[in-house]
Amino acid sequence: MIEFTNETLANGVGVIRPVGRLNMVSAPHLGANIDALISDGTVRLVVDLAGTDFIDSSGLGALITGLKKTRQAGGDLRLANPTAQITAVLEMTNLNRVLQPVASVDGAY
Amino acid sequence: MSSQFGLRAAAVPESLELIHELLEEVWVGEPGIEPMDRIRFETALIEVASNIIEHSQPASTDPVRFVLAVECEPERLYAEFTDNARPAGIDLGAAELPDDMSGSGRGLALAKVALDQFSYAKEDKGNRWTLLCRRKSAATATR
Repeated sequence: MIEFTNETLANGVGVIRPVGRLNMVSAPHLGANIDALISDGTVRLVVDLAGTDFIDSSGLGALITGLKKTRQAGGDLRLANPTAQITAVLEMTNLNRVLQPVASVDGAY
Repeated sequence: MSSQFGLRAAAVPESLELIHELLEEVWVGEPGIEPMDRIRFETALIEVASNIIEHSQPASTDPVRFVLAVECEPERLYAEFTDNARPAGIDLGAAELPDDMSGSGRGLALAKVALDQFSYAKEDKGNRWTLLCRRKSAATATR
């Protein structure tokens, strides 16, 4: 099971917080959350992974698709607070080259 | 000394939770496993299970089910998935990481990177995957 608690910061940055596991069941929900923010005009996004226990390749795919969509809309998608498993998976797939985590949600932009 | 764990489940997305729960039992039963070994093993198991769940075609009127057997030994973590699906004939040699900006196609390549040995075999009545992760603590101890 996964839950999303999202907020928009005063500087207009959208924060998505997936709490639980990102896998083939929940990755489409992450994609839908990203799409909803972009449609509302929020194109600078941070995915706060502090509560994300596990990510698989479908979760990575949703992040990459979100990255492409935000950039096409003139924004960006950045990661904050990755857990050890997420950091390891980003390294194993070399996706740390394009999804480099930032130090904090507040300092993401 | 080795300990063994296992489950049998339907090839449906909800079964992924059962694998996480089984591995939680392994980590509780075998508390000496390094965090990075756990991460590599769990990541690979979930990728293989997801592949079975997403791509398997039933070989008969029976729904697809899989059996997962996990063995924890001092030097390695070993898992075997067998299923009753139509033999898929997967070529793991062809499983390569796609372009960084690709939104899919990483599953088996990620499992391959995470593991020390990874094999797939087409069988008469299904498919068999074996996954092996050499334990980091064991590698350090034998040096």
